[in-house]
Amino acid sequence: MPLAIGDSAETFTLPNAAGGDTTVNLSGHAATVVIWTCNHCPYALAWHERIQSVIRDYAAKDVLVYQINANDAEKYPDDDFDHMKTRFEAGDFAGPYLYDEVQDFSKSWGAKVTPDVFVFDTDGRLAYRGAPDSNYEDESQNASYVRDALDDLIAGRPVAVPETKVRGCSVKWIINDQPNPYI
Amino acid sequence: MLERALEELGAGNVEISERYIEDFEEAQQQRFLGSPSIRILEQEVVEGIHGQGYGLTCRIYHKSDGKISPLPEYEVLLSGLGRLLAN
Repeated sequence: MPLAIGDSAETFTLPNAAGGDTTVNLSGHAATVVIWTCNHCPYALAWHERIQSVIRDYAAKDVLVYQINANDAEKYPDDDFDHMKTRFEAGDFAGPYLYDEVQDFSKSWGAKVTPDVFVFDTDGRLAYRGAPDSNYEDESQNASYVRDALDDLIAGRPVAVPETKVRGCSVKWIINDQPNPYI
Repeated sequence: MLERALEELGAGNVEISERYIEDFEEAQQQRFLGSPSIRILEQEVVEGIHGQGYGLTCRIYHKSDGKISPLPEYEVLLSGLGRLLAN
């Protein structure tokens, strides 16, 4: 079953483009954000800098952000681990960039598109899921959906808008048995 | 957006068909720049970015302000359609 608001998810470990493996524990911080993304998707690229700004702006507020690529690298070679490492080494990422090569976690969570944002509260429960903001073309939106959710969690409030409609390229599944992301 | 552009050019009766590129080999054979690509009689309505390869991918368009977009700008689409329809 895909994650729903209020659900928790298990701790997991994935390869990190910076080297080695990284274990993602979704609780114990003011908030933990997981963003399913990739290298080649124009939506992910259009939102990319806004997301890196969120990482920088909230790092001192005990917010951890993990960006994870789960795309099938065989059909989409730009999304392979080597390209991830190249982008990371070029300084494109303000935080960890992980690789869900076998798509275990992306599929079990119900990730739909790139980018697809999941925000967890300090207890590790899903508190926001959706798009970074309302318009990939408008930088002034500044990932406001994510920022609003984080501000609510940091202030100890329930997230006012816990879900928004995702927008992006579908996650490129190795076995495409997932529902249409826009239905 | 495509239908609107065709209407604006007085070509609303042009038939639009969708074609799915299923794998990397087909993408190479068809010189596929990514999805969505729009062609008229196999001619690209919007030219590819310099150095852009062929493959099974989501297509990146660069807007006039340099930003990345998954879709072409309307004016660019309109211009490309007009150019090819005039031929």
